[in-house]
Amino acid sequence: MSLRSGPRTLARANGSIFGTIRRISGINAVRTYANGTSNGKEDTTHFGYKTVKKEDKEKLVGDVFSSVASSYDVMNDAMSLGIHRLWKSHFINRLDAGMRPGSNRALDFLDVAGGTGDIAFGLLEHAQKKYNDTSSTMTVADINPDMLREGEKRYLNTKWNDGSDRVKFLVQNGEIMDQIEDNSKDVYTIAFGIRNFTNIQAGLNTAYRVLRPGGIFACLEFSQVENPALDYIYQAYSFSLLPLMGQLIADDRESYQYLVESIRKFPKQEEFKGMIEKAGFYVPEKGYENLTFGVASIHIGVKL
Amino acid sequence: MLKTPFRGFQAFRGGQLALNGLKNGVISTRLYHSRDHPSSNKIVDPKSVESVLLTKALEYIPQYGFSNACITQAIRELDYPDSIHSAISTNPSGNSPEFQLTLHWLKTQRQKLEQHILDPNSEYHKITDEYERVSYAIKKRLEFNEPVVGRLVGGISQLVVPYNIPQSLEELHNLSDDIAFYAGDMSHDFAWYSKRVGFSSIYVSSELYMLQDSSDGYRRTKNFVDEKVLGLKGLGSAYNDIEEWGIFNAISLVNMIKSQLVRG
Repeated sequence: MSLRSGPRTLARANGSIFGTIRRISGINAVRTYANGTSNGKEDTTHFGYKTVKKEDKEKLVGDVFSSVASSYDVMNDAMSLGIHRLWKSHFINRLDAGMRPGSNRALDFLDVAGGTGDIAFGLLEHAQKKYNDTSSTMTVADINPDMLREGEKRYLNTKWNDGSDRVKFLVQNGEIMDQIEDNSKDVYTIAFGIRNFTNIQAGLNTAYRVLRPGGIFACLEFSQVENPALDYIYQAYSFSLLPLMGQLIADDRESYQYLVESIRKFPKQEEFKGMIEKAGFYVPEKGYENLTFGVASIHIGVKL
Repeated sequence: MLKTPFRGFQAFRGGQLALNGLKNGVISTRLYHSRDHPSSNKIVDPKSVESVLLTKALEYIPQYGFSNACITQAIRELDYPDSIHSAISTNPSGNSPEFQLTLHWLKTQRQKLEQHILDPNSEYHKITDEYERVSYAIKKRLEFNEPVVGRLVGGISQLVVPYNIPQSLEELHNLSDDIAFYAGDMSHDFAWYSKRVGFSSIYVSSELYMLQDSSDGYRRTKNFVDEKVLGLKGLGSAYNDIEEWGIFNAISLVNMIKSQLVRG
C-alpha cells in the first residue's frame, strides 16, 4: 500500500499536532482505541492512523464531516456500491421498532450522529407502515452543525414536516448529551457514527444514561471482515480505491483517507461487544450480527 | 446431534475417570464431558431477557397462535416498553420472532420432558424395556402439545420454512437423542444413528397424526405411537436376524471353500 502520501491539509490545519503525528505504516498496524493510550500518554487518541491530542480529535473529525457534508450521500453510494442502503434498511427492519397497536405510550427515538437523517426517517416510516404509529417522537442529534443542516434541509421536504413537531434536530456531543435527560429515550440508534467518537466508552455510557429501562441501544458500524482472504480484498479496495474516489468525486482525498483508516482502527466485534456490556447493557447471545462478511455489523444492547 | 445432554445420574463418572487417568500419569480419557458441566447443558437459559419474554409469550399461544402477538402481549404483561421488542427482533441468529417463539416452545417442552424423566417419582422408572420407555416418552411429549393443538399447524409451518429447516431438524434430533439416551440405548454402531432417525420420524408422523385425531384423550394417537415403536423394534430384530443369518452363511461358505481346497 503506497497510498500513504498526498497532501495532508487536515494535519496542516492544526500545526501544533503536526509534531505528535506518529505514522504507522502498513495496514496491519498496532490497533489502538479511543480511550486507550497508544504510547503511554493519557492525553492522546487516534485520528485514522495518526496519533493526536484528545482535545484536537473532535475538531479534526468536525473538519472531515464539514467538508464532506454536501456530497455525503453521493459518496456513500459510490464507495459502497449502494450497499449502505441495504445495510441501513436491514438495520431498520431488524430493529422493527414502533409503538404497537393498543399500547398506551409512544416511543421516544434518539438517532445519534444522525446527520442526514436517513436512519431517523427510515425508522419513522417503518413504525408508521407496520404499526400505524404516528405519535412516536424522533430526536436527531449530531455534533456537526453542517451535517445536521443537511438533514434539516431534507426534513423540510418530507411528510414528517407536518407541524406536529415530532422530529427535532439538536447539535449534541454524543459523549455528553447535555440537553437530553436521563431515562428519557426508548431507542438509541447510531449508524456509522460511533467510530468517530473521541472516547467511545463515554459515548456508550451516555447512551445507557439517556435510555429508559427496557430501552434499546442499536449500533450499525463498520467492522472487521473475519475471512482473511476476503479481508485482503476488502483492504485492498478500501485503501486504494476509496481515497481515489474521494479525490475524483468530492475533491477531498484526505477526508476519505481518514474514513478508511478510522474503520481499521475501530474495535473488533467481540471487543466492541465487551464495551457495550461494560457500559451496563445486557447483550443478547452472540451480541452482534455481521453484514456482508463483517464489513459492517449490528450491535445491540438492552438496558434492563 | 452429537451433543450429550446432561445425564444427572452419571454426573461424576467422567470426572473420576479423568482423575484416575491423571493419577496414573497418563491421560487415558477425554477431559471434557458435557455431563460434568450441567450449566452448559441447560436447554433454556431461564435468566436471559429473550427467554423471559418468550417464556411469558408461550402462555398466549393458545389464544394467538405462534405469532408475534404473543410476544407483544407478554411484553405488555411484564410491563416493559414496546422498545424491548427489538431485543427479540434483532436476535443475531437472524430468526424471525415467530420462529424464535416456536423454537422456544420446542425447547421448553423438551426440557419439561427431561425433567419428567429425571423425576425419581415419575412412572417412567417403572418401565424397564427400552422400547416401551421410548413409546412412553414420545406419548408424554405429545401430551404437552394438547393445550396448543389447535395452533400447532402454525408452529409446524414455521419449522418447515426452507431456511428454518436446519434448526428445526437439530431440535428434532435433540429430542430423539434425549429419548433414546434416557431409554437406555447403549448402541455404539450404526444402530445409534438408525434408532435416532427412527424415533425422529415416529415423533413427526405421530404429531401429524395427532393433528387429525379426534378420539378421546388422543387414544388413537397413542396406539399409533405404540404400533410404530413396535414396528421399529421389529425392524431392529429383523435386521439383527438377517445380519446373523448372513454372517453364518458367509462363514459356512468360507469353510466350504476351505474344505474343498484341503481335499485337493
